[in-house]
Amino acid sequence: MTVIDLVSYEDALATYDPVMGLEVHVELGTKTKMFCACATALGAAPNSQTCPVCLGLPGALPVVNAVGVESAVRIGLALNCEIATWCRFARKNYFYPDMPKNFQTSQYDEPIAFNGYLDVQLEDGEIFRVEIERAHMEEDTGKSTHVGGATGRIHGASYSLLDYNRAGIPLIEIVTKPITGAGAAPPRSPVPTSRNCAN
Amino acid sequence: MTDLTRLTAAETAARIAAGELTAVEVAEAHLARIEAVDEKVHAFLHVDREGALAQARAVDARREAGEELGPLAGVPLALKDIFTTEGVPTTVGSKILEGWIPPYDATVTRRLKDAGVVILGKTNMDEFAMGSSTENSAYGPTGNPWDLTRIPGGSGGGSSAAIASYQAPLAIGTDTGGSIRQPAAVTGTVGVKPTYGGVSRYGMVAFSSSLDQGGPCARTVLDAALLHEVIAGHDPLDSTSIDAPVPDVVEAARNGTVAGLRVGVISEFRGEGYQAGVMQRFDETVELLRELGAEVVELSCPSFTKALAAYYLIAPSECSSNLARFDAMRYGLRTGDDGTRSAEEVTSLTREAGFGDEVKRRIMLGTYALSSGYYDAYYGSAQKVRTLITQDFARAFEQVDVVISPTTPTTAFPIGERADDPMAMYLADLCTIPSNLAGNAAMSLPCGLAPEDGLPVGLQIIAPAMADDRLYRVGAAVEAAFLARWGHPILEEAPAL
Repeated sequence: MTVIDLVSYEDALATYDPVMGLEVHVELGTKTKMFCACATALGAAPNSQTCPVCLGLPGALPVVNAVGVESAVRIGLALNCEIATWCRFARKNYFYPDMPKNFQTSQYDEPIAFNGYLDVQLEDGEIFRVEIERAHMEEDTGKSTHVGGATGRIHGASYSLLDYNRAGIPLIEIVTKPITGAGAAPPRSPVPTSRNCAN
Repeated sequence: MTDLTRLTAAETAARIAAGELTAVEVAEAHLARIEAVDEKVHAFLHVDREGALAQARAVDARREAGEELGPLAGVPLALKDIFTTEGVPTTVGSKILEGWIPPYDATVTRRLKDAGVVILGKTNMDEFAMGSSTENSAYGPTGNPWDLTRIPGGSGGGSSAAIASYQAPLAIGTDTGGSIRQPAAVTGTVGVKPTYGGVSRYGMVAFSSSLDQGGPCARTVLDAALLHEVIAGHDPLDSTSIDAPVPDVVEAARNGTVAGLRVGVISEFRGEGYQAGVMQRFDETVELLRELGAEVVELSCPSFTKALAAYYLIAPSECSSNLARFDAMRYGLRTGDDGTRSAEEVTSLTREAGFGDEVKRRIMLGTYALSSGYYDAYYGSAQKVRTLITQDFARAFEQVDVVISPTTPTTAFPIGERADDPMAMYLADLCTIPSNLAGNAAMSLPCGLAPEDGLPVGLQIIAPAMADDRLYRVGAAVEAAFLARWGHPILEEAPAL
């Protein structure tokens, strides 16, 4: 039997350089959803902002939101990305009750924006560059509320409530390349900047 | 008194517009016919008597008010049960949607209603349009009006049987691998698969999104053209719908000619598996086209021999994703929800109970073909074959204006004969599948009865994408020549029901 020797936190920090990547989901503030004309306003009564398209009813088809695409391009430019002259959506197939079609319309091998970077100014004035792998368009799922059970998750719940108002809300997923190079420098915070570059 | 169910759609509409007939009496005549014969034929899954009569009354009221009526106003139609109809059940031939009442109309449904067409009801079909015989319907098979013990084709067997048995002069079908053309061929009727994107898919329950195409079914080429014109055209709700003017199919159907036309005959569309009587009628039709002034050119499209294999990767792959939404959460059947089972278990039990064998077979094939690591080998390779087929067609259309073939290798086979042999069933679509893969336009129309069994044989005409009018120009000429030769429409030879 193999015995795994755990390395202590201090030894790990001394031995290894932490490398991480971020996957950030940005919800767009468009008036309508990514593939239908339903409203996106928060706080509406459950399932009041739905239609055959975002409920995934048999026969319904998506039509892409032009403002959503424009926002994705803006984000791509703000992240110094190359913008694809041609790109396409792909289906990410998996079953979950709050995903009406049981596939998420997303982008896979051909994202709208790729190969960018974001320069972040740290408190001490240093510019830290985060390389951006890609930014792609996709749709959000509905919201599940699992009632009963100990964990608040679907397993063990006595029943679940589904609100599809959020299903189809436009998201931009921004993926960084592995972030390295902090080395032994103490943790520093970036200078706060506006969160509202995307509308 | 004229039997109103025997009239063509064009005659019916003209006589309603002229005030010689009311839409209500036409609808009632067809509803009576349904009542009289559909117990034997089983073309309809749902008859919407009240909806049909209400629509007919509305057409009559508009005429009385002096409003101009469209070219098919007041004409009854049988709608394949794959199109959503607001307030009227839509099952797609599956138990999994039993009892589902859609809250919205498909674009095709909406356009029919706006044109004053009277929708009599929803027609039987192979479950989710997967099949070539209508035997895969969860609601029982449909009989071929020529011989009720034989299949009416599939998946749109209900639509073809409805028009062949005079229960409606018009029907709508959908064609993913031949589901309009093959039923037309085996019932002696006319069916058209328009260019991919020619007719909106919005509200048409998806089987294989890159292949599915709705289209018209009728007893005459002109009737098919009139219906084509009503349902075709750009739809902002379907991003794959063509944003360009619809070819003038009605003008083409009124002015049929093949003089000076170059017609291609594909050498791959004959040989083993083709019934002798089918090839005899096809060869006679080639001769007829020569007599009518067409130039016939022999062509080879070698990639067509791979079409069936490519199709049976692409169509199941797309269906496995499209049918994922039937999970018992929002609509349709829900099985095993007794308060003790998880959502996952209920989804699984529902899909087990709600889908038939052929649907399950294709979901499993497709899920496997799309799974991580296999995508390029299966779906990717099949898409490459698809490109080769499109290129073969492009080369053919450099030399000829249309391509012709038998629509199906055989006439209607007996119900049950191929039910347990999926490969034998798949061969029924050998000649029709290449057009779905290439996305071009194709028609089937009758070209005689096979001498050995007296059953209808279909001629397939294929035109380049966006040249749907060519089908009607050629089809109308062939139809007129056969009418002159036979002295009557071929359906008059079908036995009385």
